[in-house]
Amino acid sequence: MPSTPRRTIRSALAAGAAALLIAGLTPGVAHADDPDPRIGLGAGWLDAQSALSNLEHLAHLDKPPGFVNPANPGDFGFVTSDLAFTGHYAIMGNFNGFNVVDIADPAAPSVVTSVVCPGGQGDVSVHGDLLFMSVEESRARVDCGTNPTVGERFQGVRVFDISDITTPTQVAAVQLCRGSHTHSVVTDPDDPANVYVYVSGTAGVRPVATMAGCNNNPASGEDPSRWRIDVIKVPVADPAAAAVVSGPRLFADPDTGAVDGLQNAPPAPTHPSGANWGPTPITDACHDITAYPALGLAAGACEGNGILIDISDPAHPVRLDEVADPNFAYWHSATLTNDGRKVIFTDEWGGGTGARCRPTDQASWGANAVFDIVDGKMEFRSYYKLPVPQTLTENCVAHNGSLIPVPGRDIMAQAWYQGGISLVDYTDSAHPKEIAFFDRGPISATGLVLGGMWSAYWYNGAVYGSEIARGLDVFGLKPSVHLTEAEIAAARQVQLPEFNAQHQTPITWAPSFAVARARFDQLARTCTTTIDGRHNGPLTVLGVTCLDGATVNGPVAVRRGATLLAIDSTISGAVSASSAAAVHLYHSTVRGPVSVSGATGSVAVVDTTVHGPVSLSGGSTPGVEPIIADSTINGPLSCSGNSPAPINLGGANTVNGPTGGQCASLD
Amino acid sequence: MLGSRRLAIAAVAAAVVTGVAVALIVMLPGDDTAPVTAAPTLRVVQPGAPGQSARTLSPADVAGLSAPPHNAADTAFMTKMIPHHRQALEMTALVAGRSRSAEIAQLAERIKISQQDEVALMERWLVDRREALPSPHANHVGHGELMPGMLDQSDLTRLAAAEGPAFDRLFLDYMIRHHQGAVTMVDQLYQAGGGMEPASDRLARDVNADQQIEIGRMRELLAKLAA
Repeated sequence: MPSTPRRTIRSALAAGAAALLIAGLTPGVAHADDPDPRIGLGAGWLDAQSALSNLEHLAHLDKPPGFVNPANPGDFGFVTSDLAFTGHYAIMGNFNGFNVVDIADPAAPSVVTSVVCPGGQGDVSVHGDLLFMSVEESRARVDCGTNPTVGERFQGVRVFDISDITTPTQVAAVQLCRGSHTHSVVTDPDDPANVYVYVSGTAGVRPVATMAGCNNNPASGEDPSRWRIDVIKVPVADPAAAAVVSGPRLFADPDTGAVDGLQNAPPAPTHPSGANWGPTPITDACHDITAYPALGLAAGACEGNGILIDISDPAHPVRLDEVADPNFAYWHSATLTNDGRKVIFTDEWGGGTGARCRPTDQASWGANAVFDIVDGKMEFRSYYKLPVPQTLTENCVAHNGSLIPVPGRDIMAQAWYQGGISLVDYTDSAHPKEIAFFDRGPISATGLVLGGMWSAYWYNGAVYGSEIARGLDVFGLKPSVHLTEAEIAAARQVQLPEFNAQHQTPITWAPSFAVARARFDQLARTCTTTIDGRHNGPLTVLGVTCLDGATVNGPVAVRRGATLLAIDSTISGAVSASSAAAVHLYHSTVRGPVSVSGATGSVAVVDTTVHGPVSLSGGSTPGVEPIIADSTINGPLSCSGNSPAPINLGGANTVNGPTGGQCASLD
Repeated sequence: MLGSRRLAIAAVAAAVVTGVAVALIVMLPGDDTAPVTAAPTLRVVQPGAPGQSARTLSPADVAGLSAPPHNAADTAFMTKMIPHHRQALEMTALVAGRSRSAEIAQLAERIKISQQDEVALMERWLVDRREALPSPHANHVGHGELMPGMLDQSDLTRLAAAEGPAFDRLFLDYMIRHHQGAVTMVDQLYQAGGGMEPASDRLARDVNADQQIEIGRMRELLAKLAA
């Protein structure tokens, strides 16, 4: 409903009450000036207190046996890491292998198969029947063995066949000089027979005794193993033939050709906090790359720099632009928006093992940096940091996230280690704001035990969080003043066959009541005039005029460029709109004709009774079908010259008169 | 509260061992509204090398899974690297009063902090594993063996006697040598079968990467001084 000031206040109170501290206490009514419920949460490994806002905690799944050390929940040997999704399965990486979790019912996830294959980080991606996994630890063996004193050592990218999800079979293991800390699937829109894997290796170069050709040569030396990424080409029909095809020098100086052409020294002797840099923002590798093949674009988070990459030729990516930032200790990961016009980079200050959300840490340290991409160049707009401090025993800093596909908005779910999960709306890239969260107390109140959310990704209707020490958490979105039921429903209608957060695909929304209503809800946040009582006489609509339970005794005229939103309202007169920005009539009655011509934005007449003819003509609204649905029209319905043509979303109208033109079949 | 949860886990583990699949739904005080599901592990497989088939692990196999423990090579690495790093601190302490270069002063400060940080991490590693810490004097020449890249007494005397640009060059020479020694020690760790324990591996790889970065910076500075 349109947000009148009165209703806004009421909604805000309701949202405050939803931010419950659930601590085994009877929840009281929260007030707007209550302290953030994330402050002061009790500690515990599997019994910590937790708080959430605008989320519903659908399920928690402990780490299965074999993937946890109960004597030391923070054991590096069993860290839960990144997530990938295929069909109704979540693949949850672990330093000891990975787990396949059935999420057909997100509220009842269950482990289908645990796969033992040590080597960390266990970063996983899927592509059809193939699963890729990053390995960087020295203990790893080609054959997934657990005893590192025997067998052949392995650091690189494993390729599994997961056509039988209960028995993943290794089909290739590509050795690399710096192993694989992360990797990213890159598809070629023109070549579905092959898939590429961009490998980011951040570890020291392995001993040459374990792999020929690896070296620690300086940048000026012969073919240094550093200052490059590795590109693996995988023939989909013959994945055993996976092999490195190139080692692009993405950091090269275009003038001198020097391979170390980006940030080679920290921007200041110490981090702005006064502490030593940790990690050091020097670019000799990427930490992670997010590809958007449909745009031929990738964003690389490369230790000391954020870069944009042309990937239209996937085997030969080319750097397009680079940025640095005086606050960034470690460019860690990147997320592009669906339209490719913004990019968020995260700064993993402290390396993920440090407490970097302390009350004294500024919002620009260990944060996200939001950039607009203008003419192929990145322009800084803002920082976003988890807006609540965490304790000294909680490792906390910006980490992995993915887009929540709400049409018309840029929203990301993001993991902050023991800072939990934060949903950020950065539609206005200069003013990002939090709209929902989940947080647990520290694992230990007395010492920092590694834990927290590694990744928080949206997949087909829910937010999944992989918890380093505790397992898998699943969340649903709850409507709030920040996100309406229709916006959530519109996001939920996006169903993908598989998902890797570092491989973005264009999100599209089929026309639906949810998508249409989401447009209404978003316009309702911009009302310039709101009428929720009686209005006598003619009404001229300027700006964004919102009728919410209103009675207008007179005709309504919508001026050029103006927007009319009406819900639960009665208009005793005609509604006419010429070159309006938008016209929406929901659950209303119009005692007169409705005439909309030359609209430039969304038009919707839903569950509305019109005592008179309805005509819709000459609208030009690319990608946004006008909607006339579930309405009763006592008069003719005629539509002409609209692009695209009006639709009824399957909600037939009752038309007591002739129908014609583009609306001939809407009754 | 942790205790009760541990019991739940033990119950699941016991059930798995005896081949009885159970699913526990435990509502815990102190958690939020989501039911806590301790699901039984239905199937655990271990793939083989490419071309080999996966094998199914028994509950007993799963119960026996552990990450590689630390070994003598790891402990030796930490107990030697700590004094090795401490000598770097002795060297950086000589900079004030001898060097007139702001860049050298900055570099020395960075090295000091990073070596201190790593010393603290290595000490914590040893303490967590109930291994003895090295003697606080182990870095002093004459106490114990000289590790790769370390300065002997005559080197230290020469450095302490130098001044101005001569000090800067000597400091960089020695510190590059010192850092290369640390890289050698990392190589030796792996050659000796260490670095298999995940935490030791991570520490050693961090030491390796950090020293490489600093070596690169020092080479640049040295080239600048020579120019």
